[in-house]
Amino acid sequence: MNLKDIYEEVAKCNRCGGCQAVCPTYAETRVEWSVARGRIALVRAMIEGKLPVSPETMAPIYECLLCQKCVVNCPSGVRTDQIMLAAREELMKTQGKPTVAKAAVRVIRDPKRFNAAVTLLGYYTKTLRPVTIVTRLERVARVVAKANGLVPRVEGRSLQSMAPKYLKPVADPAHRVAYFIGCATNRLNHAPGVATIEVLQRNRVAVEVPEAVCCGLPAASYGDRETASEMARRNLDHFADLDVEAVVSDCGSCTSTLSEYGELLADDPVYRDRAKAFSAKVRDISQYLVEIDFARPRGEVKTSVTYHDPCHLCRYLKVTAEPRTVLQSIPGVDFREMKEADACCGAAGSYMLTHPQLSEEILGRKVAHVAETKAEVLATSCPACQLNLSYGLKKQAVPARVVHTVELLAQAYRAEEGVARPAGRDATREAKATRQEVAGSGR
Amino acid sequence: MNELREANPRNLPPHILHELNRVVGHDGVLCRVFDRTVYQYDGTSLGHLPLAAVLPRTPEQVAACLAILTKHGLPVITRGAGTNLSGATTFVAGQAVIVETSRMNRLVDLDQANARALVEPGLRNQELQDAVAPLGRFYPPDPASMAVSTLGGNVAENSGGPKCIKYGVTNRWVSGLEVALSTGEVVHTGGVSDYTPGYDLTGVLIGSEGNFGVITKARLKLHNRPGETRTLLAIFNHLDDAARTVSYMIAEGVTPATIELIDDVVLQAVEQNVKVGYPLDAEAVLLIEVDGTPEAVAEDAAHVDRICREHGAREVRTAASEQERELLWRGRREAVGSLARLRPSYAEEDVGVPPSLLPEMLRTIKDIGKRHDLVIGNVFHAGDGNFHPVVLYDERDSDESRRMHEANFEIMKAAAAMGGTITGEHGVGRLKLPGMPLMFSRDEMVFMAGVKRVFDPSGLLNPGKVIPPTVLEDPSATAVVRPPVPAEVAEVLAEAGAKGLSVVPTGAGTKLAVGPRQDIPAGAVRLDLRRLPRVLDFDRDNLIIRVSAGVGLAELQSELAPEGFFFPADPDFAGRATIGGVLATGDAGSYRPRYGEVKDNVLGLSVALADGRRLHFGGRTVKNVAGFDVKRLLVGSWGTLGVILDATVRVYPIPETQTVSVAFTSADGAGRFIAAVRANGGITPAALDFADFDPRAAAAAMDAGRRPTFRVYARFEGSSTVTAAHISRLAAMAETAGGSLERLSAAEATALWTARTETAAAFIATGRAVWLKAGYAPAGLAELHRDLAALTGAAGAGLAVLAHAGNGAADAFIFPSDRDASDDDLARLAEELGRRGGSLYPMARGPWSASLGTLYGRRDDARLSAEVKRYFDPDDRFGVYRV
Repeated sequence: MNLKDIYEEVAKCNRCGGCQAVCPTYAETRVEWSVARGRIALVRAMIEGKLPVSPETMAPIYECLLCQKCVVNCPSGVRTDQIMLAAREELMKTQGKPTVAKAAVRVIRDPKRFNAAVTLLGYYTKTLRPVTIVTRLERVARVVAKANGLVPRVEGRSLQSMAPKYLKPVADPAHRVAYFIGCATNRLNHAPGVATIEVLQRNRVAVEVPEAVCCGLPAASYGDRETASEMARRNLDHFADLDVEAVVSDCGSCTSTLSEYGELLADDPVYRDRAKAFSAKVRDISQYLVEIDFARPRGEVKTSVTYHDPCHLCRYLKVTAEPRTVLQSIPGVDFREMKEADACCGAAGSYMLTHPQLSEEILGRKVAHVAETKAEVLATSCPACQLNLSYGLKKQAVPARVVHTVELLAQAYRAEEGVARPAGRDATREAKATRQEVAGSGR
Repeated sequence: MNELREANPRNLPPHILHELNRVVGHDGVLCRVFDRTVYQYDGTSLGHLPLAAVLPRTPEQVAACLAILTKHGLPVITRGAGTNLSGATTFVAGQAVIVETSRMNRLVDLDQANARALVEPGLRNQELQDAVAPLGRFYPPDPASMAVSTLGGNVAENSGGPKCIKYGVTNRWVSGLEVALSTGEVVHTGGVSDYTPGYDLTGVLIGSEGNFGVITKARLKLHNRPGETRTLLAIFNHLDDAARTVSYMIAEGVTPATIELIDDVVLQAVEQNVKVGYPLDAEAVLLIEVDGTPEAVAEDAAHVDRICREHGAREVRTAASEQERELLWRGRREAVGSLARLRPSYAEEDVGVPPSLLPEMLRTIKDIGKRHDLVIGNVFHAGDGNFHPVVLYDERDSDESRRMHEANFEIMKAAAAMGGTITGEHGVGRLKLPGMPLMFSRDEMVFMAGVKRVFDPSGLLNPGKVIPPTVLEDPSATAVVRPPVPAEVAEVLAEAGAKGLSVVPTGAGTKLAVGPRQDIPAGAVRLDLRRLPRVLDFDRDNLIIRVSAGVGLAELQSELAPEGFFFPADPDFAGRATIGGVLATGDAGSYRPRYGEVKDNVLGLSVALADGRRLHFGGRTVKNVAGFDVKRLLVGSWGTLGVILDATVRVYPIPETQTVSVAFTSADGAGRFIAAVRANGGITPAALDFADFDPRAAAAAMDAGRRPTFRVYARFEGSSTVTAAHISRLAAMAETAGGSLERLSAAEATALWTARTETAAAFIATGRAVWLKAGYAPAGLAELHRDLAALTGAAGAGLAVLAHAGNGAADAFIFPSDRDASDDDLARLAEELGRRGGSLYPMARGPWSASLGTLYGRRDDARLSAEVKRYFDPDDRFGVYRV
């Protein structure tokens, strides 16, 4: 797609301004180019030749979180996210990628580079962090400081390489699925992935963990459609010839991206059909659990829980009820809905690093809503959100811990097996134990 | 301006940028090309690139920016959320700087006791609703854009919405404003009381579309949330029947909270977009909501159901659950969006006609659509005759755009020809300028342009809006010709002008000796308006009557009574007062809680100025925002601005009434009771007065040694069943507050309310009474009473207090002893009331000294009031309002 192709979509905006009520970035900046209507006006001016496409004029376009809040609220149904992507593609074409994007895409594109980067990051978190070099470049310093907060540690090995440890033979499986490991789960925090595998197997689902590369979302959101398509094709190759009824992911963003492969590769004669078939099978883990009518846990997890809806899961995929069904099925869970549960947390992939200040202002609002519920646990269904939310809660000293939805379910399943275990292990301690166990096994 | 032309006219000159930056900081001025690109549009129109957008955070910053921009001769457009539908915040000629209020978005104060909110202009309507809902309140104006439109914008545009048929538009819900002027001043108008002496500057600022000043704070009134709401969907096979049903409903005096009409084009678009279960084979539906207490709702719903069925509804559905109700309203909310999905662009008009002409106007709109080959959907506030024809087109197609503009002009023309308005709630802005000469004579438009200059001498605030610039040069630029001033008035004015005499417009002369007007000079000419040709032109279908100023109030009431109607005012001296006098003094008496102030019921008004010009402001529709609301300045001006010749006012069906009296042992108890009544959803008495004496035995009240009694009188309207239910709830509240309730018989009630209107006359007639009028925060009755009692007690004077307790307006009658009360004490009380947002001033001085004339409280709008006076009446022909 290019700018001209998006003109019809742009023309649909009637400038009613309704997006001001819901846009997370506008809520913070109160400036018109921080809201869909303004950003669309900029794109329109670019298409009509009244405004040059330049890094400066594109800054507001990159400031969009792609959270789709405006899209679902728009009376005219304008796909602002698509318009933003088309504009970013245009900039890529005419000016090349922004430096950060370029570096990030190069890392993501190549698994070797990715591994190297994570290894470096791991080395850094263990050794160099305490003596972080003071840089005079304030912006870089801020990003580094933020990255420090966001990624407290990395996993020493990839979950992919450790999968055999968790994969247990399932006797008389009722279902067969492939588990798509997202980058964050694979290298930064294994816990959601381990839990995903565990709860699937507990439900008599035979799990395969094919090799995978990045789903392509970071590239796509920088406007690099070409790279995104390449990632899609590689993943399709990895997942070819698998006899599974579903492809399950624990990451809202990956799930959403994978389920759009059909559209992404619609013009690719070789991959078109495979992409379509593949996308039709993609499921979020909670969604899949509800679909197969998962075994309701009998073990108790006595704690109060609130839930954050990841943008991709709740708006792109319209999955909102399922994670709540999973959480509320757990005996002992006191579920508390927070205000604006479906508002973006500000993570938006690398946005939390590229727009540290704005991202944190948006996160601040989210954290305040979490704090209001006084819940002990904040569950969500996206590892990127998890990183950002943990960072935000810690920074604001809100004593809630962040877990993936299925981590709690896994804990409940374990509790039911351990009914005979000695009493007195409260949920928090057990959760800590679980985390340590998982973390420990990751190293 | 010259310095700008020499510099690059397309960019903000650096030295101005520098000055602005010093006020609002570097992130407060946006002037790069892409910044300006996003401030060149509003909810409909695309204009030129502004030089910059300035985003101040405080009133002081706004004022400082205005001073800078005025100094450099740069036009200023104030913008809130940029949602307006009239091009009011865009421009196509010259240059302009946008002052955006988005960063002034605090809810400054929520005064639960008085049901008031003090807000900054950038706060969204919905944000206020969300904040006050948990307190059991709501802010009634509900424009469709309320999720995003700002309250500053709502005030500047005098926004309406579906609920306005029952609750009135924005100008009924604003009690005071803080405004930054182009001179760099910040002034405050109005206060916390519904009642403020002086010219109604608040009233004329509302709906001034950014022409007079930048609103920096608004004090808004809140209403109780109704206990219950019920939604009905009436389905009609014929559009005509649906439209006619609405006018029958109005004529029968049923006032649902909303009556929305949705035509077939819209029904189908909605069902295509969101399935809400609207019928696809009907020509129209009415979406009607009634609210109030459960008893009232049940009765009103039955009434609505019956009227719909009697007039051709094939089916009337009642939403059985909250989900069903939500679904029906979802269709309404998604209506324009659903239409918008059919074509790339749409234009939403907002003409209004008296409701009886709904069927005719609908047919006309359909014809115009056909003639111009355009799809026009109709979904609108039928209850007040406020249309929203939505014209679908593609703004990139120049031919279709041209046809859209032509069709819209024809729609405006048709509405004006039917005695309606070119704009009911969106405002004139830039896009409806061509319609203004259909509504106003050239004189009127020139006059309104002058009113703007009173507030904005620089002429730099939103120039080129509301008044067509061409009109000011071209005498033939209007289709409207007004009849001349009647000879009876013209002769007196001319003669007085020639001889340099003062003119005192009078009716029955009941208030000649009282009130805030300066003493009438010797040799002044009394212009007796009872000599005017008598006009009583009753439009029974639309419940409006045009009446000349000299007609007596009692005469009007007795004319209306046989038909079952009345005009809601029972001011002091009601027995002899004339309509002109009631309007000029702006006194609605006890009717305020249910029917609002006099000004709220004046739809149109003719005035003769000192120089003999006859001007007409307003029209015949309930919703009308064409031009500045000049009639609000005239109502309550005590004849000091011009001579009111005639007025078009709303009348209402005479309801069944029941009055109760609740006795307390102290003013505190009465105060607690009034607070409880005001806080209770649904039961709104039509009158809620307080007296510390028995109005039926006024003479006894003058005895300084008497023991005061404390009674609250509440009048209820509606059927006996509903009233009985409301009174039993009131009795419970009375008991809690320590009062005892007594029902008055019809005869007792009549005696009471009549005596109430004659009390002041009885006191004044003795020549012994000092009469003070107080505006106070409605929750502050007991406090006010205590202060007055302390003051008069110290002076050994007698005191009698009468208050319209629901609205914060009180009359205090003081009967001095030999010892004179110190003026200083009174001045202190006035000052104290002023500090609390109220006021105190003398209606009649009695034996007290002349210095009483300056009592008032703390005001900073005196200069503006004086300018208003100077503009209307430069030679002081009509005497001076003492403010």
